[in-house]
Amino acid sequence: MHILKMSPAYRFISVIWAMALKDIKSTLTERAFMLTSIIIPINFLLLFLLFALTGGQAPTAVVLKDNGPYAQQLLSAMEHSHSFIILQTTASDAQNLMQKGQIVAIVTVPANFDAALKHGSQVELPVVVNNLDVDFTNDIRRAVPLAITSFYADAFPNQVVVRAHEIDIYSQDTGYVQYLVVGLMVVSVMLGGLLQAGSNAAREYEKGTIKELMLAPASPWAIQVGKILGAVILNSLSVAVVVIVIVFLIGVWPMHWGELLGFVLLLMITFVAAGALIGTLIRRRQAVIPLSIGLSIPVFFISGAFGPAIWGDPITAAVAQLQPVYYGIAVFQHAFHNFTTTSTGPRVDGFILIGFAAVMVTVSAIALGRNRGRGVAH
Amino acid sequence: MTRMMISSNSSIIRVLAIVRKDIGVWLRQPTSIAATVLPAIAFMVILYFGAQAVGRNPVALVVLDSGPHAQELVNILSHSDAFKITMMTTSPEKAEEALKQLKVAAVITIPNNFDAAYNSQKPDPVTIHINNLNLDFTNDLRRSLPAAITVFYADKTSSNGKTSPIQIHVKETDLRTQDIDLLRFELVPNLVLLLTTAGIVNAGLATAREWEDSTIKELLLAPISKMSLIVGKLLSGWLTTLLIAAVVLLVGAVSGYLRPEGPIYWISTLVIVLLIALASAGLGVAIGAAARRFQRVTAIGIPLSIDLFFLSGGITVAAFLPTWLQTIAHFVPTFYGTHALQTAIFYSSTEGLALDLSVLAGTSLVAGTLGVLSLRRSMLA
Repeated sequence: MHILKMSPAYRFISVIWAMALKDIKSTLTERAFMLTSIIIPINFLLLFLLFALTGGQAPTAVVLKDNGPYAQQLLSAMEHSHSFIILQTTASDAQNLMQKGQIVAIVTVPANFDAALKHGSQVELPVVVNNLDVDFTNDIRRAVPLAITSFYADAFPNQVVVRAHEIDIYSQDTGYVQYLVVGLMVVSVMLGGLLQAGSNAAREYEKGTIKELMLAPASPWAIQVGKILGAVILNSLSVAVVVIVIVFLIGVWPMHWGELLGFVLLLMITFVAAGALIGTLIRRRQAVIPLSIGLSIPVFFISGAFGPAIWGDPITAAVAQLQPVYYGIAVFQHAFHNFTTTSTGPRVDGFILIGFAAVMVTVSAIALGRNRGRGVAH
Repeated sequence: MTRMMISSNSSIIRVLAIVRKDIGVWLRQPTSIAATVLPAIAFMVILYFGAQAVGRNPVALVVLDSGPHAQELVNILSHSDAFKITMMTTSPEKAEEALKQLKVAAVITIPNNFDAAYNSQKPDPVTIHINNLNLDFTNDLRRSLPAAITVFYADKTSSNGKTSPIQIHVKETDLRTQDIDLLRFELVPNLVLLLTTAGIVNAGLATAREWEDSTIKELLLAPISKMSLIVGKLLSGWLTTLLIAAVVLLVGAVSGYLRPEGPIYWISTLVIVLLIALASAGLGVAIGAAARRFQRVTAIGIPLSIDLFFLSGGITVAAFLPTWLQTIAHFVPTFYGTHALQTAIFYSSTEGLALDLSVLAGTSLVAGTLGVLSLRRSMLA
């Protein structure tokens, strides 16, 4: 049937499907880029996990020159201080490890440790610190005295009576990696969506095919929605790989699968529409990749990937709440861990995300429509 | 002799013509410049926000005892650099509500019998109710209250006039002459990221452009040797990278954030920068000649630079990584570049410089050779 003879609704849907199909076929001819758009988000996921592996615990050598019960208790207090990765070794091995950069501190328990404490005399605890940067070094500077206080609270309970009594909201702790991968999944969906849709949109300008699209008897809305649909289908490949890595390889199992899949789709639409907008505006595929990466990384960091954003700097938190990654991380944390990480709660966050998706699709369609109004120059 | 001199002079002129053309094109391509600096800027933004947020979670403090010891502990907690007290109250319900609404990450409660228990040397627990969403900041909070108790005892002269019961005193020895703050420390890996991105992307795009714009045919038909063309490409990639490095080093030196002390450390810094830029440009030419398309160059070059950045320490400190990851880092050339620059700029030291320079020189040689071979192969094809 000729397109002009179709009913408007049928024509709209036909254009959407034709556009989606065209973009999928075009992308499949550029296999190198397609592969890259799948690999880049996974690459980011794995790289940022390396960051989580540092975990804020200092690799520290403990040299016990005294093996008495108090010395052992101090070692135990250090091991339970949540601050050190302890390696018990000799003085010379400790020096070697320090020289190789494999440890950052050496704590030496002197030979007279037990005897001095039994007699109530002072004892010096030598600590050698590789003070590389002040943040990590201060962690060690704080951690050694607190291990000493904890040691006293156990060894001399009548002398050190003030103790911390901890009560946790959740019955079990969630590991840093398990928490962080959820935020990483959101940024992977964002990066994949921006890359895929941005490149698809910019390709039309680079190859000059945008003129034909704009001259075609089709609504720019249908064209843009079709491009978004095509990019969502293509992007789902990359998202599927990310989900497989997170769930089956890293072992973070979602508590609410339905919620997860629904919000993944919503975020894909949002970011693919944003990518289509970027591609329509900058019109060069070469710029899409650095812009997508350059945009995704800071947004990921300010949006509460490491903990609720509202606990951080108030200005940063206010800025974070103006964009979808903040809400994306919140709804994903709920879907994976049943956590609430925003003051609005997952239900409201979900509605806000629907709003973002609608706004992104609308703005990208308007941006494409304006090309027709002004005439296309590339 | 004269003929040889004329020949070598004309080769230099040809190489310089290629260099001038590539730099001219680069300067007219804002997208290339953006592609070069965007990842480094993105990581700087991250580092800035990261440095602001390190370990400062909001906490509510419930004070149910007004005795002197309780007030002393309140004072210590209020000045803690591990968290910030955003709410101080005598109402436990109000604090718990704030915890429920995510306004605070934890509630610390000093009980109403704190002073009495302390004076009678009976168990005196201070409660911390934590929103333990993840281990990283939960452990920060877990450490923070015992740390405050440590300060409480360290400052203490007990009521009977005795000094603190804690008789163990820490004697700290620092390996480095000065502490470097997080933001400044991370500027160096970020500079290395900028150099690798600039080298790989700029040299890669300059090489791929000849195929993308089909100008490679004209170059191959021109009366110049293939070697002049290859050297020109390498040199232009190297120079554009050094141009960016010069701007960063100048700003760093003027601001004092990246200022080596003394001529020896300036020289070692410059040599390291020259080597990293050369290795990156060589790699860029290799990728550009093999990929022959802009999009492929950016798709390969930028993630590769970011991979090298992360594996050489990146946004953390390599010494804090697990051993297996440190072992991998030792196979990454940028690890040596970062180490050499940090020791020269921050610690005025040449520790490990010979190894660092050897690895970087070797990498430059390998990358340069790779660039030459890849470009030759593509030109022949």
